[in-house]
Amino acid sequence: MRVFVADVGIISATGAGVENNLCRLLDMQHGLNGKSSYLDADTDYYVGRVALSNEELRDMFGIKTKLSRTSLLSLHAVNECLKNFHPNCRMGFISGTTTGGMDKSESFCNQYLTDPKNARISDVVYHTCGSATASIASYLPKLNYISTISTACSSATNAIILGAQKIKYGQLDAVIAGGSDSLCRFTLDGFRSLLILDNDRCKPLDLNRAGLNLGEGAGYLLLVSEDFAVKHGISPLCELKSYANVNDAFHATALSDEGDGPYLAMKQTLAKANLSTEKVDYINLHGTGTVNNDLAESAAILKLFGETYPPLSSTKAYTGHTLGASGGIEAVFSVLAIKEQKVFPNLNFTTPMDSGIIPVLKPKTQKVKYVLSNSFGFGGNCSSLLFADIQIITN
Amino acid sequence: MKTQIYIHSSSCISAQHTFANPAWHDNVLKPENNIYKCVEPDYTNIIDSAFIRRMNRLQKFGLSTAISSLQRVNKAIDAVIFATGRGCIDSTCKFLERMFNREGLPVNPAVFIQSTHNTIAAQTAIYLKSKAYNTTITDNQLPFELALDNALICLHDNDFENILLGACDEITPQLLDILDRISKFGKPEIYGEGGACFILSTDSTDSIAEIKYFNSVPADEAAATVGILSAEYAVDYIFTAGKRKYAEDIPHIRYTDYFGNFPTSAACGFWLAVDCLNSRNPAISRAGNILLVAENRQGAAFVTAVGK
Repeated sequence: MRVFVADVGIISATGAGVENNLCRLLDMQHGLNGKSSYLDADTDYYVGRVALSNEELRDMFGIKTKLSRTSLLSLHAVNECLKNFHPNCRMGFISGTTTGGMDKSESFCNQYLTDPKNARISDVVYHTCGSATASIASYLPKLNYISTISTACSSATNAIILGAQKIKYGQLDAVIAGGSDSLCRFTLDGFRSLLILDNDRCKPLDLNRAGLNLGEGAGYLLLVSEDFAVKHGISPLCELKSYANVNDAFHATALSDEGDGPYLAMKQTLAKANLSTEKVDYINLHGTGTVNNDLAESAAILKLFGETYPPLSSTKAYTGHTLGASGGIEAVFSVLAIKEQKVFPNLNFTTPMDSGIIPVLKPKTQKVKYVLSNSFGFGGNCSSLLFADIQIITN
Repeated sequence: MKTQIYIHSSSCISAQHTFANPAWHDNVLKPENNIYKCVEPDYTNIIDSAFIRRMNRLQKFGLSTAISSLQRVNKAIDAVIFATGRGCIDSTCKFLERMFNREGLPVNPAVFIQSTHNTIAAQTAIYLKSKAYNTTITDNQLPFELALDNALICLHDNDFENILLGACDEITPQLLDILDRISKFGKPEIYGEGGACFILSTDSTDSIAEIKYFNSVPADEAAATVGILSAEYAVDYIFTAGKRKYAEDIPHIRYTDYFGNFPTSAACGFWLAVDCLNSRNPAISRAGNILLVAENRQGAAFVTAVGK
């Protein structure tokens, strides 16, 4: 059974909704205007903060309970995904996240450490990653399947892969798949302790790149089976043609310099689609801007594609690295590349790495039939997705 | 739906002496102060000491059961799938404490690295040098069942033949304190922790059990599904985490009586079922087929049939 993308939904530092994000990508306008001081951290890194506050997000959906920001961002993007979708069907919701309700757990913990009795227990009940998904299910249409994936920065991508597997083998008709993560001090201090945050705006693929900027947001695809799309006259945006999930099996937080995991993820994805490398029209890179990631990803691209690699870019300098959401957000960008027949430029690139890949630097209109999207995470979790343009299918 | 997936090996760390010990039921332990803490093996006999130093307790649960379950089988693993309900709570709490107490300098990254849910499956991949499909499923209530579902979906695909499926959760003093306060709004329970690991395969040769049926149904249809399955298979027991019985005429075993309640307790329940199919447990006579039923508070249930 083929798997189609019926719709997409996104919220990020570059904007709420597909149109806002697309405009910013084509105008080369980044969203890294926030500073991390609002997280009560003692430092001031650039962060990709979503402009809407928790209160604004709650009001939009008439939510009375104090859900985690991860859930609220998720609901915003999922809602956009479903705006034109009405049929009753066997539907799943598979979401990737790494922080879950950590924003609320932090306020609980801060109080708990000094005055345990007075810490508000209601602040910690949404702590788990599973809660971030389950707590918004009641705001969605009837769901037959709810699952949460937490594989660090490839969480959303692996959620999309599981969604595709459920459809491919006929177990579900439609799946909302992607991910959501909110900014919190936990991840800010965590990445800071690893010394991989750039003090300035990040410079993916640049020789002088100095680390990543954290971001927040959510991105989801509405995946439907071919049968379901045909039956209900859905004109898909594209096909989710292939995917692969592998492990670099090298180090807890670093990719192998040769990029074994990234190479295998891309190679297997193309092999399963029986697609040769020269057919790929655009690669949305993981491209975090850390020394290690971009080196490994560049090595993997050159090994697989050779010097004639396709147009490619990282969009992390627009949104920041949204961790568990990044695979969802970038899957949306990959679908938009096909829909708009455009490739999106990489920001802040001036100097190539020594024999490294060189990204697209201006928005470009071109034929975009096949797009690869890469997501690599801590723990060696490396996954790739392949999207393909298709003829409009109607009944 | 009917499946023909075979279990080749299983391993369990729990509040009982279940690790690498077929006679664990000779000395069944009781909970202390409503808590079932794990009986932990000497990890230095199982895991390379260079690794142990870099691992938290939950990673040790996961990797020890993974290594132990691989000892019986000589197969290339095509996927590593782990489930956890709460992830590495101890590392998470440690990082939060240091984050709020520190002055100036960034904290040590080790506990941050170890706080992520996927650190268990990742450490397993690094240890086994496995570049295969690798994922971590989480859910508050049924993470093991959802990970089993993920494994079975993969086994539909010709690319997959053998899968390492694991699950684990831990309890810590802070977690117990918080759970006690949350439970004031619900019924108090016996808390537990532990983990189990299984090698699943499409190959039947030398298997120790078979997954004959696995499906997700609305909870209010679970009893009807149990009725249909018990007519099809000679079902000796129904295993559950909670008190609800799904058939009056079939003996009911609550595995949480042995292991306590935790999000992935069903993994230990599944291990117990496989153990009952293969050993002489005096408390549970040797069985031919066992049904496991698990439901969540949102009205979904998973029904699994395992047999010889």
